[in-house]
Amino acid sequence: MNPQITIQQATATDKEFIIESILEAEKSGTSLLSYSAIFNLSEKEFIGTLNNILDEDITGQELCLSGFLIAKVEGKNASAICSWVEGEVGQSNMLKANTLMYFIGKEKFIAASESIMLLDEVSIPREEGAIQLECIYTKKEFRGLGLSKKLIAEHIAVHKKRRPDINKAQIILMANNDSAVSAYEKAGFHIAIKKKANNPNVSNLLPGNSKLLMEKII
Amino acid sequence: MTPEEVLTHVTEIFKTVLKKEQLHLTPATTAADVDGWDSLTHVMLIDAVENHYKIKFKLNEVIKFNNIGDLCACILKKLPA
Repeated sequence: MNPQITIQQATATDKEFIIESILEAEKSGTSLLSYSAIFNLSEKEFIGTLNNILDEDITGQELCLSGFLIAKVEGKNASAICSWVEGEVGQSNMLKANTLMYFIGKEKFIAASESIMLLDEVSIPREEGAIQLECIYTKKEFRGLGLSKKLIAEHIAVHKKRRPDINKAQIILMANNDSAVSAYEKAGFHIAIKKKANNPNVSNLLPGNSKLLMEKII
Repeated sequence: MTPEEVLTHVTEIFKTVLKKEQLHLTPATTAADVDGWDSLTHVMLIDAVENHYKIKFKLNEVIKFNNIGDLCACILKKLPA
């Protein structure tokens, strides 16, 4: 019998699972957490910061609790994805920078300047007016059920209902995440941009040295 | 202080932080209009503005800065009359 799958918007009671989703998506199958590497924070310290950030619920960027949809299998948290429409409430990179500046502290943010500048090499701009899908994560025991595909479809449907003019969805991910690339290709996305860093130090900050922008006309 | 004076000061701060001698800001200017105004320099700009005026922005204020006009209006509100 097929397991019962439900999709719902994340609430405060899901915070622990959303934190797990953000961390695991960011690590992209490795043990490297970029936020820790860039801002010189332990994973525990970053989790504390993330707790506070999620409480503020700053929309229009990926560290936002209400931006997440969760797929539950037989009532258990199984998969999560965040989304927003780029530019709707501001540029997501600025909103995220403001949020991190406030919660990590300006001094620590500015101290990370050199690392942040290094990441420019793999920075891919998001298209204004396009749906952005981020922090895509499925717990190991629930993989193979098509949960990411269902969540992506639901995110797109929710935004399209509100904004029928939207015609594109985008995902930025690490290029070495082969299983994710293949899953998004099956969901109708194609690789639009690939950026590779020449500086080997980028691999100390990110779980790889190349990023992809995948997109789909909707 | 007048809005024009704040805009002049802010322009000077931006010139210093962004290392651009030629920079013309208007209330409608956004980050997309200014080469070099990215997420990192944004934090440096906010820091420099706060230090210059000896003020502190709240998170719910900075996330609403859509352009230079919003920034200047918030500075003006925080300065003694």
